[in-house]
Amino acid sequence: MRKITKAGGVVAIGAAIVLAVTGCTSAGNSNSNSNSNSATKKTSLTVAVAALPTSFDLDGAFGASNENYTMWSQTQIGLLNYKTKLENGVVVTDFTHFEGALADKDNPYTVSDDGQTYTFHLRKDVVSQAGNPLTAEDVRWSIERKLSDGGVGLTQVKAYFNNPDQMEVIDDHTIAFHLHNAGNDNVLLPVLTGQTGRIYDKVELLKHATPDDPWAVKWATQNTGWGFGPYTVSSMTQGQQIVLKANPKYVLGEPAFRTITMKVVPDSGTRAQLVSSGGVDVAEALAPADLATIAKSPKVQEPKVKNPIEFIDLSLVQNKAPFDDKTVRQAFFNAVPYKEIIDKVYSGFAVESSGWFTGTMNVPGLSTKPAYTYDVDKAKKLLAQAGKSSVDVTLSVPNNVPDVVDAAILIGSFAKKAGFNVTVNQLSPADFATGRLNHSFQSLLVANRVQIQYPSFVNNFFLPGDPSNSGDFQPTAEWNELFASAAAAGPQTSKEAAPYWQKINDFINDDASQIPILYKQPNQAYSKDLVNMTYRYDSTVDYSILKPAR
Amino acid sequence: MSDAEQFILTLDGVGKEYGRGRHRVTAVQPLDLRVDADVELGVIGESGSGKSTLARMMVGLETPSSGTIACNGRPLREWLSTRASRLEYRRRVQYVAQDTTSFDPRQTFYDAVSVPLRLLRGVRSEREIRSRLDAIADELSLDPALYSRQPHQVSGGQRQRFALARSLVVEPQLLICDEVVSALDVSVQGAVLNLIKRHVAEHHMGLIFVAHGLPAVTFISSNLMVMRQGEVVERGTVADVVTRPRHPYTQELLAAYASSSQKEGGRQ
Amino acid sequence: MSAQFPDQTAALAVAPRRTGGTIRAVFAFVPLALVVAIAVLAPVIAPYDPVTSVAASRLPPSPEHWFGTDAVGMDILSRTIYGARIAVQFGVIVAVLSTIGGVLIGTFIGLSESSSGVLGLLGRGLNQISSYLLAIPDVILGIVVVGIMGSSDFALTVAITLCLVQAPVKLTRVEVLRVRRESYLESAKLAGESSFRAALVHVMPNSIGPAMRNMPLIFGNCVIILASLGFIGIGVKAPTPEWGYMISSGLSSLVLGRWWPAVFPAAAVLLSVLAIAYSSRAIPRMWPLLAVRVKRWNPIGRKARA
Repeated sequence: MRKITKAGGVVAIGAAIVLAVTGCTSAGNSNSNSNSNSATKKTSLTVAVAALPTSFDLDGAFGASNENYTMWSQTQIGLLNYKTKLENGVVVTDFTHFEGALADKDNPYTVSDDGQTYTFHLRKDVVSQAGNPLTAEDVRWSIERKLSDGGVGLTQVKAYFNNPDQMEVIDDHTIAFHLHNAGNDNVLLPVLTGQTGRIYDKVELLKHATPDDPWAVKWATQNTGWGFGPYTVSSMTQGQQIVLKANPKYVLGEPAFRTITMKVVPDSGTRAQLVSSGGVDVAEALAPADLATIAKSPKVQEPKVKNPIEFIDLSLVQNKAPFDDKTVRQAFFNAVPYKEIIDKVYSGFAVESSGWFTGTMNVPGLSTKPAYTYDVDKAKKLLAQAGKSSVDVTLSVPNNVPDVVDAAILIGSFAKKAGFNVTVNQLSPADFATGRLNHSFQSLLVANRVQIQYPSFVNNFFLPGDPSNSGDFQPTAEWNELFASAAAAGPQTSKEAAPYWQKINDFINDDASQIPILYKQPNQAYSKDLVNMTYRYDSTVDYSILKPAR
Repeated sequence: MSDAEQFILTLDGVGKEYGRGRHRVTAVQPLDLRVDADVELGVIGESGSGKSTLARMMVGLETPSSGTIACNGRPLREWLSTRASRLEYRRRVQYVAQDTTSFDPRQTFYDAVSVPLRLLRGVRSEREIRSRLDAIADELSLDPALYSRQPHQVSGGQRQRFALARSLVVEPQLLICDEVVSALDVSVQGAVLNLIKRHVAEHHMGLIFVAHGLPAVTFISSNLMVMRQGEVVERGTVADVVTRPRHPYTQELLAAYASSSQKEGGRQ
Repeated sequence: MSAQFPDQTAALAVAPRRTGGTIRAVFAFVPLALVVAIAVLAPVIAPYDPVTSVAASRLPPSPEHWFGTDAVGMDILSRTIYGARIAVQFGVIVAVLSTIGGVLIGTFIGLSESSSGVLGLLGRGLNQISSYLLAIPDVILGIVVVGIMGSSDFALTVAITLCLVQAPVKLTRVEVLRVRRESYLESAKLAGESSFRAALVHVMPNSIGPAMRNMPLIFGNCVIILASLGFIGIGVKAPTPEWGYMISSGLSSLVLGRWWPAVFPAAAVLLSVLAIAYSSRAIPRMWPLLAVRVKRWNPIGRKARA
């Protein structure tokens, strides 16, 4: 009896491999007919995605996944958009310049002389996906919803804007935001531009409100049609696919592609294979190695940018031994093989990190020198200074992100030479999130991104008790002084303020607790038949601006 | 109990039934019996007559379905209920079966025979064990070279003698032999019977000898009990039963034996 | 270790063919010995350290790296060789634990299940639980146990042992039911032995044969379960060179033509399990030969005891 079981097991493993191969091939074949009708002008796209979104409403259920970000960005829009510039065939976000979206294109807002009142001028004749006209009340109500219990909250601006009463509806198409003592570090505009700034159709949502659910978040997490964005969801089959339909009344013009079919293909290699064989038009969330493998494929183009904003963040927790000693932390950052990780794990689809401040922030003259380089001798010397020759480290990583796991393994392999014995602790995403929230890790490696590329925004990752502060940094007097001086020096991107931001960057790097170890390139691949690849604040594909190449 | 106390085993209405309802089979019909020290009782009957069951009940390998077995007035159930008294009962009554598998196939004879010496007689020293074993072996004509053998490495006669040795080293007051010679070659049978008879006489122990062969029983015992289908059909001294059988079955038995011994020279 | 009585006589009966039989039986152990040798000699055989990045990542097989390199530039040949070590470590520990545990539990069940009272209840209960566990697929049982205990080598050992202890439990139980009827247990009783002593001295030694012969199969199954658990990501910690984890992390790139990170460890699982299976079939043949030899070589030791 046991012998049969055993043979069965062998067959099962063999079969699993065979199935994996044939399964992918057949998936490729079945999908390839989706774009065979390209004789006429192509109006539909097929996309291979890793998973389906879990929520259509940021306020209802905030789950930061690529798929959720994509859906929020494609079904909703806010008062402003970032301006963009075309770099190398990629439409790249310019984080310091804005243009009107729901607000007037050329004159979206005016700022009072004291810098405390922002008045937005809405476009006229804009209707929502449901057909209701846009009014200033929609804007006021949407912001109130965000500030309500269970709303996403606008914590980044709470120091100077935290109350719906600070909004003033002037007329149907004009609304003013009155800030309290906002300084040069104010990030109201980016907050209103990114994920948190989306404006909703109040009339439509209130139809679905109940006494228990006055903001209709229950309904909104599972339905679309209450936004002003380029697409609505026309159908979703759990575990298989989601279909988006273009919004013909979209304020920025109806998208070229009217139907987007996103098919779930859980395996990255298979998604890559599909886009390189022409089976799909876009493949999302590809592993770097797979991006590299299909980079030379004749059908594929991949966006690469100068200043990526997604990063891998290494945190050495300050209140846990051995990293309660700054010298040990510095030693460890000298024992991380930055170049090896970029070459081996990311196959070149990543760039070196000079710290939290990126080129995207447009701070003049900011150093681009890497924060640290792999230097075993220096690491050993620092360890010796700390009175140690060998240190045991447990590095926690989420097991669902292969490149983070591999980066951690590589760190372990190379840090050994400096005297660090690294154990890579792979955790399920849930366990990892819990551990991170409970601050129970000694060190951790995680994929992260800064969606608001403002120098002062970096502070948000170092607030005491904040989940983003995964190194458990405690602000010192020096730290507070540096931020105050930087804000006082002038506007964030000014020459006057720049040296202070440089000092803050140096301070963080020297503190060696939580530093991006590299910045990742976009992880999508597109068919060469498309133009307008995107690189956005949320790193998602903007399907609304994609166009056929010919 | 002190050795001076007179040994008496009494069976009072002891019977045994197997199964229930329609499937009920009577193995031993209720019977009374008194076994004194020094008694030599032969029990004869064909297979299925209940003689083995009777013997096994006397040592607690089977539980009677009716009646009481008592040793010196104390019920057997009580004897077997605690460890100390159970060991005491085993010291008094030993049982030897005809069974080629009465030895653990993994044990050497030395190990097997030394167990009752250690557990029942409390012999601790290896030397003492060895000397007692040698004494019995000498008496039973067993070669000490066989001590280190395992059951399958010796002949049936040797194995049966070791089985006897295992019981005899205990020096019981009553020895129950259940078909101990039946499976043996005729040439060996006589020797084994002689050994038993001599040992029992020398050590003044009681003997219950269960067999289906008349010559062995009559040779070794002075009293005889004839069983048939679970029933005692006849009992008395050997002389009485052999010369004046009353029950037709006994007469049949005697007649059958007489004719076969003429034809085959006593081969059973 | 000696075998059942009929086996031995059979071995003695074929005495003239014994030399050929021995050679064949010994030869049958070559595959198993090879797996164990690779495991033991891994540091000598493996060209590189298995958990150090030694080259560029994802290099195809070449003279420098026969099996290529993986996603972080570790040598796949070295990792595959060291994988045998992990498999053998777990295999041996689990095989020994399962067999010991299985024999103890199986003996307890066999002796107690037909009795009345608490022990009987416990014995029948254990027997039922064992039957249920036997019905749950190994990998699922593994996931549940590791899910409850958290991922660690200890949890994995417990999980796999729980999967594989059921066979020796059942095998031993059946043997005990047979041995229980043997009359040497009655003899033991009459010689003053307690039931507990009899269970230890007579029942268990005479019932372990099938469980012992099952041991190599446990070993083989352990390799498969470990690889399966590693495959679904709850096996040993990375970068420990474990075959299942190597296969699962290499599988994605198989589609894109990078076959070597997954195929070599998969072949290692297949070959080692086949090797163990092949050798384990020879064990019943080897057993009596071994027993005869032990007895021949060591008669003095036995006499000394006597």
